[in-house]
Amino acid sequence: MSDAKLAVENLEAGYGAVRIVHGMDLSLAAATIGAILGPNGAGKSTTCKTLAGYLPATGGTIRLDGQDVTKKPCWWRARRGIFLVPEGRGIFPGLSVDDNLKLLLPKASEREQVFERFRVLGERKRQHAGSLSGGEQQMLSLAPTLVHRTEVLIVDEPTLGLAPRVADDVLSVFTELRDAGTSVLLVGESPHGIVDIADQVSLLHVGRITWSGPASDLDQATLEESYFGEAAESGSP
Amino acid sequence: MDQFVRDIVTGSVSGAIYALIAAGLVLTYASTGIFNLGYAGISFSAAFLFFELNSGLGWPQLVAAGIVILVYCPLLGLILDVAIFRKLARAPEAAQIVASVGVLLALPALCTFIVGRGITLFDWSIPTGTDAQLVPGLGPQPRHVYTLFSGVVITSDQIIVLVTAILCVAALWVFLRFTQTGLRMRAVADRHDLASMRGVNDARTSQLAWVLGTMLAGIAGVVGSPILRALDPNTYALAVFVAIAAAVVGGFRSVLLAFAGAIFVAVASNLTFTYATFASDIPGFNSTVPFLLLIGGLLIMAKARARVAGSISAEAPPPDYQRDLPAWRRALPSLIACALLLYGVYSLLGSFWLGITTRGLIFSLIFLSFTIVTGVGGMVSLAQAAFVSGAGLMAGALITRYDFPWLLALVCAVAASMLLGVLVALPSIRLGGVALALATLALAFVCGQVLFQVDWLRNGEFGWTFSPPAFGPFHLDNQRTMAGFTLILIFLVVWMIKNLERSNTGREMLAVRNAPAAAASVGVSPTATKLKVFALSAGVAGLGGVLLATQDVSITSNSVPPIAGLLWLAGVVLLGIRRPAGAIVAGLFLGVMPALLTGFTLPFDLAHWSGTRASEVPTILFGLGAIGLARQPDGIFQNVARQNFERREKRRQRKLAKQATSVGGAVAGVGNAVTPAATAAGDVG
Repeated sequence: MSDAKLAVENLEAGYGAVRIVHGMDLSLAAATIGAILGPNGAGKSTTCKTLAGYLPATGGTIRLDGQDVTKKPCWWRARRGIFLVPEGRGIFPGLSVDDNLKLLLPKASEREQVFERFRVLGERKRQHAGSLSGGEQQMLSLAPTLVHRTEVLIVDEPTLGLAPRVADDVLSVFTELRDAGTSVLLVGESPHGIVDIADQVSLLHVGRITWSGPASDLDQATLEESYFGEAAESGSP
Repeated sequence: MDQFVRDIVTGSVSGAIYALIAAGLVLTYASTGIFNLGYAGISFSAAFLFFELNSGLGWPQLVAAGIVILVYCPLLGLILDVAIFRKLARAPEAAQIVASVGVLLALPALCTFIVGRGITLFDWSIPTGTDAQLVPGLGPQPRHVYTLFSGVVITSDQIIVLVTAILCVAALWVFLRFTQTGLRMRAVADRHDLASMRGVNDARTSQLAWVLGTMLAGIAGVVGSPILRALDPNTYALAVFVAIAAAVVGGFRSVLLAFAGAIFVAVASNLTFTYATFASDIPGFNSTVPFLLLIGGLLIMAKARARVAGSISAEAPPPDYQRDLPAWRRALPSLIACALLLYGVYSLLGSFWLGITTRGLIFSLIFLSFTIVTGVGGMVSLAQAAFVSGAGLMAGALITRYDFPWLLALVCAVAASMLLGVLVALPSIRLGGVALALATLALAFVCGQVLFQVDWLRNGEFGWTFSPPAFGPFHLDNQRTMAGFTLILIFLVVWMIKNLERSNTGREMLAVRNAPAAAASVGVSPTATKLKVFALSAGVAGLGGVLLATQDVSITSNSVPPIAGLLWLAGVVLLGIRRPAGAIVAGLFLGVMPALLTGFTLPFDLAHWSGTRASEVPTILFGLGAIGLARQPDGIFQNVARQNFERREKRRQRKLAKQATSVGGAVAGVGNAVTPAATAAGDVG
């Protein structure tokens, strides 16, 4: 699996004595969209934070382009190209829109590109980012990745709380990023919308991947099995 | 009109020193989330070092200042960051406050201690510094005095402070506003988790913030020393408290607003001095203006923006590390300690040590009030010293002036102190964490400056003197009886705390602590619950205050300075804020420590030590202890309990492993599976 952009082997993580992720294997090829789906409490957010390095892994390895990054700190991984948009938006609510972008796009010309594409952000660049609407906030958190290509983009609950049309806009950003060469990992509770654009889907149940395969092979029965937990232990293909 | 203009001009000039301090406070708070009460200690140490280099060793002013600001301060900042504050970045707020109090206490004491020992032991030919009345700053010596229009006089020292403040604040503003590093610091302050996900190395920004903040403190200390005059830690602490008011008035985010806030606070104090003639009978009124502004600023800030997330320091309760022990085994350490204490009080100790121990026990009683308000209630109160003073003075007035019997005076004083508790808590109760702590500290100062200066209550400089009462054959002037009486009260209060945790109020408090909104939606009023806890805590502190006055036979308005509350809190948190044992041991320690350091002989001649004469040692020990919190934010007792628990757990694992191997390798899986279940069962029990 050395050709994978992001390769996770036997990953274990949790909080203190509580283990959430039990031996997860995952592989994300370059320029593809992968999806991790699972019900509440499956360990989705924990997985995201562990991949980004915000939580330390208690076991297993995480490789980026074949390089072991398991022990690297969060900021190091971010500079190396792992970009996580955490659940509930990845913006600095107390900083202005302009400052939010400036952190990753120090050049004014780069920020202009963002403002040309997202007019609203340009109009409100002096406002606190916290005052933007949910969709605008999600656009703001994704905008830097459109200018500077990141290696791996991980998004926790990309469409949660967004109006359907806004959600579609956000999802179209992901296909655009994939076509530009970014590997995207979408993590969510609801398969709605995510499965349609994903190339590869993994189902997560109580900290383990119970099914994994091309998005086209995913059928209703497998999905229900994973969400409702029946036969979850033996379901691994 | 002339007077008005004069007030404004001199206010602006003298506000500059506060602006300089406030800018540093805002910088550290905004970029690390830690409110550094130790700032005064840092400033003092810088001013002290500058004084010793300049006046002591005769170095030129600029060289001495350069060494202090460019070498000493950055190093100190790095040490503070690495050794203390970075570890506390995610610790409970009480631990953060206490660690910064540790810096506030320990740094100045260490400075004077080192210089003092150097002089006596190694014959250093430098001044002790403690009696310096006029410290040269960077300005010309002697200073120039300029007369502006209509009799407004400013000195060269003031001009230097003003220019330095303007330069520093402007530089800081440009740095934070327009540089990429400044932006990173603001990002960390806004959301530290996201900042690291965006490639910001928060360890590096934290380091930078501490180095810059410490350098600013050093600049303030060196440049401001001729304005603050006396080289005395308390003077610096007071200046920093005024600067806190400035920072709060400025909204606590922007260094520019903090600058404006400082000028505003100084001008307001000046104008009050001129125009508030109604208050001219109350000597301390003018110095309370910054504190009143501080309280007002905190309230407005809390109202204007929900910046203070919770109104208590919300934190998960630490796990119970004794859950696997039977009840008798849990109580055993306390029982042994009680037995030893009783043996000591009733048989072993001579009259000198008995008196010391009794005093310690009274402090234990006072410290139990922290267990109530912070341990149970989750609110950090720095006003406890005011309750102690207030109740003592009240009892003195009632007994001496109105011939109340002691017991009745005690009840009245406790009631008055509970009332004072409610009054202190009312305005500040909806503030959270640091804001609440600051508001209570400010109110303690206001009480000390105004309320306890009213002659009816304080009876002049000499205060009240009254003799301990007698109940039948029991005379409280007998130390054994007094110790026994205090022990009974301690027992009652501990029993009350235990009950409180299990009672309705206790459950309400827990509910309010964990989820204020949810508590309100099931009909629990957060305000009423918090007031109850605050009043109870003030009552216990007041009880201790009356006993302290009785033990000392006298009380004056200066017996317990407001700042003592900081030291007390440090002691209690150090040992453990959540359990009564922490407060009791801390009280005994604080009571006995000063006497212990003057030398002692252990019973049966086990050991003998002739002691040290350095008065700084207890403060240094307490301060260092508070700083040691960085390693164990839940207190020493909790740490010991955790270590013991882990040892027992390991032993159990080994036993299970042994059993498993003796039965056979095939069953090993089952043996392992038992362990989590056993722990879970322990959780329930």
